[in-house]
Amino acid sequence: MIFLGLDQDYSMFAPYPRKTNRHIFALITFHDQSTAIWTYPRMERLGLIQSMFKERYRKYGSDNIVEPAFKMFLPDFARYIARMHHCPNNEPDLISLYMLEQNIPAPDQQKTKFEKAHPAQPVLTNIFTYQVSANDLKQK
Amino acid sequence: MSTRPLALFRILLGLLLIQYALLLIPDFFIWFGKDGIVAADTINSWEPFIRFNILNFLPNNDLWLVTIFTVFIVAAVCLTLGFLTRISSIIVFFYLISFHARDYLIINSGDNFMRLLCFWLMFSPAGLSLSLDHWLKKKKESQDKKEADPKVAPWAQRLMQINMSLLYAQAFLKKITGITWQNGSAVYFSSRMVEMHRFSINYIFDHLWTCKLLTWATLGIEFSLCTLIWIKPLRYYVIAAGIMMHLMIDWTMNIPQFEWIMIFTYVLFIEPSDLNALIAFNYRDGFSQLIKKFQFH
Repeated sequence: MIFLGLDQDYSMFAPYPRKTNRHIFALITFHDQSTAIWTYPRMERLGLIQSMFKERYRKYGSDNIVEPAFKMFLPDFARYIARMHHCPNNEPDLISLYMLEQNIPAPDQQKTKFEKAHPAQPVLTNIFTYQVSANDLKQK
Repeated sequence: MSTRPLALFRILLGLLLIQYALLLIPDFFIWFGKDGIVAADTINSWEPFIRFNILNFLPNNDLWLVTIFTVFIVAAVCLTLGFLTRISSIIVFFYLISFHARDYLIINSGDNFMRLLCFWLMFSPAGLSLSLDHWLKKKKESQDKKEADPKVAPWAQRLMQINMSLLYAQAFLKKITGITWQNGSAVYFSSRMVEMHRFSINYIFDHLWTCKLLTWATLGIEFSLCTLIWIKPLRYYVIAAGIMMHLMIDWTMNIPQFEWIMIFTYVLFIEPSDLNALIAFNYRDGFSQLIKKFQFH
């Protein structure tokens, strides 16, 4: 069944919706020790049509790649970022992937109307660091 | 049984498949390309079992990828038009599972369900009406043989209906174990996931009672869509509730296609006689009769 893709999993917001907002970014350290930050596409900053086209980024970035079950894909992701920042005179040496995660405050059961809550303190986590090799930067 | 509901479903699913392809185009090489975000070797070694992927039988280069993708789009268009329906449905299914297998990290539950529907569609007589195949066949045959709406055994359609019911059963059973679905806060949390946000419905998401009502209503509707939908007198009420639920999710959340896959599947539950009446409905006369009916004298 799995061979033909007949496995079924309909688990949107089940058994519970995620209680955090998260986004990822990468810190790129180049050979001359300069650094740059690359921000992964953030849906909330895109327009209506653009966010429709980019929705797969949300699935990949927020739902999957940051989860431990998908950690074997992190080197591929880091290599992809390195190739994006390929610069013949100053190649990227190190890719550090970070996740900023912010808890969604629980609803106040004593109030009938929710006030706009203060944003929670985001937690910064280094999810992966990758040492780039010359081979990684070659287009296959 | 009439094949019209199935044929209409084929058209709607075909349009969704075309949209699926179009939405992928801008970042196509990022998701599937040889220098993309996920390497083919990594995805193939991720799971202990093998998934069918036609791309694994071809050289790992972007030219082949584009060729396969183009064939997929052409097959999806043919499926929508009902041209060479059986062949195009087979191509669509095998190419769709290949793209899903190539990058499993970007697909959602709606994509999974679309894949299953394409599987059942291969075995169904979906091209027997509302299709170019049917039109061409009619042109060939003599006048007395013409049959506008051929009748067939509806087993493939029934399997799709059962599949949909099982899907809602799975969703309901998974959700019912979650504490946020039990205490009524699931809609509150899901409405505050900023990355999924589309349009606001401020009052509903700002009040405790509305969030609780919507959370429990979702459970009730999903339960009905796997049980009460099989009771004929209740069917259209359940479908109406399902459409309302999915339209509301579609309005508030950016999950393109997901809700429409579910709504389009409801077409399979429409009685052929009702669908035929809808197709034959004369809008000018029908609406004027309706207006007359509700006019004050």
